[in-house]
Amino acid sequence: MRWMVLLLLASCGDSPLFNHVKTPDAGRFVRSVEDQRFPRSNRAFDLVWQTGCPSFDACSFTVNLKDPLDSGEELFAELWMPSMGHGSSPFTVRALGPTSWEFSDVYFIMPGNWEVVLKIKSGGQAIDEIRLDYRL
Amino acid sequence: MKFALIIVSSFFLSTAYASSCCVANAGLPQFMTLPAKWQITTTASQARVIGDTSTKGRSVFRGSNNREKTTQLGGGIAWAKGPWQLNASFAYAQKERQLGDKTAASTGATDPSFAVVREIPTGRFGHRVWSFVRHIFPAADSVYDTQDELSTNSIGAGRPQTGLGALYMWNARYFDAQALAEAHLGHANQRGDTRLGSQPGGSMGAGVGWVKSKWRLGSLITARWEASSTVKQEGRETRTGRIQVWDSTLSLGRQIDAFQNAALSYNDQTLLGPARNTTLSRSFSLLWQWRW
Repeated sequence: MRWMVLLLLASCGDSPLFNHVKTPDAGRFVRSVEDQRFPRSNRAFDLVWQTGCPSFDACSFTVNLKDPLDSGEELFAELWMPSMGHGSSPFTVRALGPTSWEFSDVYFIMPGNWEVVLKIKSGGQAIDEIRLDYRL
Repeated sequence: MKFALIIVSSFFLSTAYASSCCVANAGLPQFMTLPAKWQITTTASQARVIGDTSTKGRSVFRGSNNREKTTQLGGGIAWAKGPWQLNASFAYAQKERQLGDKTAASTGATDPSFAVVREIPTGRFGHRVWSFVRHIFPAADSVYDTQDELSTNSIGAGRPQTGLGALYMWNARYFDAQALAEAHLGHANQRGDTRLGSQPGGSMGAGVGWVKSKWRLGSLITARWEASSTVKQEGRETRTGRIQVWDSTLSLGRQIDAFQNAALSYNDQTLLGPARNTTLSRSFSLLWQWRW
């Protein structure tokens, strides 16, 4: 019984049931970024989310590079949740042109802080990487 | 009192399963509290994720467009000789997700666990203590592996885990009480291209029960912690947040006969806090146990 009382006291009454919100806070979700630059190669790009995102529906975004990639290079993107150390299911990628890609089937599988990780890969290795923060 | 001992054992079964990516179950998979050589346990449980809590303790409950349900059938076998017990637990789970218009589901075996238990004589009637060592093998897909649609294949912990703990149990005529303390280490592990660092954790629990005829009504509160860890992927290292969650369990058990008992349990992770960096679930589980 003493253990139970001690445990109850330790909980401090900070119950999630009585201290929660019902919908994710998308206030810091920036739907488009312009003229961002990869840190190493200094390549500039824009990233635009589709209308309605963020949501728990399938989202998509487009990335437009200012200059085309070099031969053998490819653009890669993934979602990453740093606090839990995991990502989400893989995206579907569609090239819209030599400097433009659409990433669809993007699922934020839970609310929280997420990163969209954009990588330029060459020979399967990431040669440049940028992380954009999103919270929902 | 015998009945109380049987049903108390059902508290420590790992039946609820909803956040494989984030925390380890504190319960001992199987526990023999009565003189018997063998014991078989079967469980059926269903857990729903109700919400998520950030590293700062901010809880967001999920709406109707974000559902996650895990149904699990489990089994375990225990063998005892003198004060020693060996036990093994296995389960098969189906995880279903719905996000907006998209639905997905996966099934698979979960991480099996094995434990060695030893009863420590107390010399006092009605007071019993067991110590245990438990190991979990990360056989199932985890959130650190390549993920299926909506991550429904993530039902394992990702790391091998070794735990050490003790259970104290006190029985009076109509009442009983339990206390559980456990510490564990999730070992560093390589999952494909991802290198997971080690992750220590622990849990403490306390419960009380009321016994009337062949029925027992009990409650148990368990607090669980996981320290932060590192996840290294393609040369970049991420340090995860620490995890904290509270389990509140209500259990109704009935002795069927001298060799069998059954129990229905409800577990809720939203009632007590603070919770940090975790999903919050509610689950029901049904247990049947047979010993000889």
